[in-house]
Amino acid sequence: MSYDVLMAGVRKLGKASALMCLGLGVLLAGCAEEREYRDASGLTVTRLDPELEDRWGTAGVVVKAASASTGLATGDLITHVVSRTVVANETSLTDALRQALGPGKSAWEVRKADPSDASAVIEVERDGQTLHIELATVDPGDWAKHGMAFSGTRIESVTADFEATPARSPAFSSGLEVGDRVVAIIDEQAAPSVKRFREAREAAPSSAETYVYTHELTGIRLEAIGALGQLGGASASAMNRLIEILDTSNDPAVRRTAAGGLEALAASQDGGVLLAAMLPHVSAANEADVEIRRNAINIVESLASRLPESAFSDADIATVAAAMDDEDPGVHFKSGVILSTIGERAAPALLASLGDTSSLRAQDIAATALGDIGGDLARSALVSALATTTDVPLQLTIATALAKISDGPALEELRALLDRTDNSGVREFVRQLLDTSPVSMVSSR
Amino acid sequence: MATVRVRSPRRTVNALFALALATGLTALGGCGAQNEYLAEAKDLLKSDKRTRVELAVRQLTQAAETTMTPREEAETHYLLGYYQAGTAEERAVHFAKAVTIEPKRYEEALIHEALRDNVPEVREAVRMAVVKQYRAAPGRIRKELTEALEGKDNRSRHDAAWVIGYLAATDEALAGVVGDALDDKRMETRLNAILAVDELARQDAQKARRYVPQLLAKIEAAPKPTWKTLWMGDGEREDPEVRALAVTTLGTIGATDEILKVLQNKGSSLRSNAMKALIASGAGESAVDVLLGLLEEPTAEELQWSSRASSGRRAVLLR
Repeated sequence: MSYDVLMAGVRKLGKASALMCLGLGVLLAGCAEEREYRDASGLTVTRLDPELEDRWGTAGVVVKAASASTGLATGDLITHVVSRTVVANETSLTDALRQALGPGKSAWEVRKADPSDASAVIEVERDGQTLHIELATVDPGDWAKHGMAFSGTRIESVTADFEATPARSPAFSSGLEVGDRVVAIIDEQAAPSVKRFREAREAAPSSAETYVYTHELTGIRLEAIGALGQLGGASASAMNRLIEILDTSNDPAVRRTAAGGLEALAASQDGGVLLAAMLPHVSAANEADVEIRRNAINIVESLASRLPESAFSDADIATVAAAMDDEDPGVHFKSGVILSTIGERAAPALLASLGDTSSLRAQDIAATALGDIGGDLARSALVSALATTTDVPLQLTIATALAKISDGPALEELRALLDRTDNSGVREFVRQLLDTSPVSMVSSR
Repeated sequence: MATVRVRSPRRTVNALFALALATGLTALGGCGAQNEYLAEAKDLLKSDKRTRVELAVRQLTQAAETTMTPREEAETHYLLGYYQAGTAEERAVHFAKAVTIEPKRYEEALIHEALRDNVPEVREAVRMAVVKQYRAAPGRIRKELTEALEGKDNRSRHDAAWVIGYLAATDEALAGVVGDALDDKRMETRLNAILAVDELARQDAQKARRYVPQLLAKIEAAPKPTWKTLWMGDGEREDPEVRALAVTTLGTIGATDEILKVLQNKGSSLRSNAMKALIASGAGESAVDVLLGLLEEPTAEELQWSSRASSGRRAVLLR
């Protein structure tokens, strides 16, 4: 190999290396640019923690700095850039829609690939009200293909070219109506990266208002609700927010977490507001979710143990009494405990349940609660129920309740039951009750 | 009626360990004459007898009441620390005696062997004995613990961190060791250094606050690098496990403000850890406003323009 050939090779290698270095430099410079973006208003966004990317479906950019006037705070997660363009006539309407849908988008792409980029929200005015209607399959070049005909910005038909089959008209099926006046076109663009955020910001028409959507992860929201219960203590705002979530959310997981949070707070709250909020959730007629009914009854039980009986109205007592027939043991047993804690004011409701033979479960729980409350009224009702029922488990429950009352007439009735019953199990059970009753031990010897 | 007894796996492990220990000590001590009670106890511990531990402890107790060589006495107390049922404090007395009599041998045995025991009382007793010995010979124990924390054995790193964190509450030199280990080049050492901070925080949360800036630096660093990110020179790096543990430790320290900052950074992958740390920190009602703020943000399902408009929420206007 000659010296010239060698040198030529070295030069080539040098050039190749220089090109590679240049390419790498460009690559690094290009990538560095995409880690952060600052727009003209001073809003600076940065990318997500890479650990979070593609996790829990998270995508967006994070606010690193923003002026107070925007209402954004450091750490906010921006998911969409939204442009709202007010339209004055059919030309500006078409231009705005074309901008919103982007070039080269066709109907099948809109539906399958990237709905957030290729859809537009049409802001219309109807009977003095403003409505937002999403239209996803619009070809702005040919209004008839989506069923719309305009006069200016007012819709004259939503079934143009679809008169024979109106249901196939996108305009008709999206809810647009003849007479609607299009006020603005709203273009929502996802901003999963700094690059996409920048592009969306720079592409927004100068005449448009630009908004961003900020976002919270569902999982974090659930954890925040749980944490609010754990840390809220006596905070009224924490309790009120949890009650609001429980009463208004449609998401079962969110509601359950809120109910669990309220149970965690219950011991620290003064009670009246919480009691009023929880009682409707005790009832199966109002609350279908059994887990929430359990939380609610636990909260009411906790409140009953420290609130005066006057905190419960007659209607409240009736609500708790109705829960004695709940299918869930965690609810129906607790309702009996609450009523016995309330005491004599709950006796009428309990007597009614004891006398209602349509529900053995409620009779059973009422008998136990009446035994706990005691007194002449309770004893008489128990004696009367024992004389009429043929259900053995209920007989045993009433016998136990009478033994708990343990006064003379109650024990007399137990002895009478001992004499009259043919059931050996009942006889043995009652005998043991009489043997262990202190009054009985004195009087029977 | 026949009774079937099943031997506890932990006791079997203990037996094997005792066997190895006794063999090792015997080898070190030579094959000369030995206190007969101690020898009998070691034989029992090696045996398969069901009541071998009780019998061995009886022999060891008798051995402790006789005159022995220092080596035998140390070994007797070491084994009593292991096997004699009792509180951690009672066991610690035996371990401390063993290490006082023969420091060189038992300092290493306590830190690298006994500290690994699965019985919590034994581990606690060993730590007490090491702490006591640290007062007598700080240099040697510190060196041993530091080497364990920075070494290759994961269990030793973990055990050393547990003791160092405890001692750092009252010892400035070890507090410095923790600070250095937090920035060690080995990820495992950094991880265990955070465990040491966590343990220190359990003893004295105020003293652990000095490490908050270092923990925050880890939290704010990006996760583990890939070749791609390395080429791009993408800032400081830290392992996700280290970052997550750093957040948890902020909770033990009670650094509520710092946890709330992590929680409010919606671009962080550590918010779930921060939520747990917030609860653990005992933040109480001071965190309520931040939590309520988080609940004001819509979720992805609520992000459609129409639903925002209908629910009365407004998107943030930029211009």
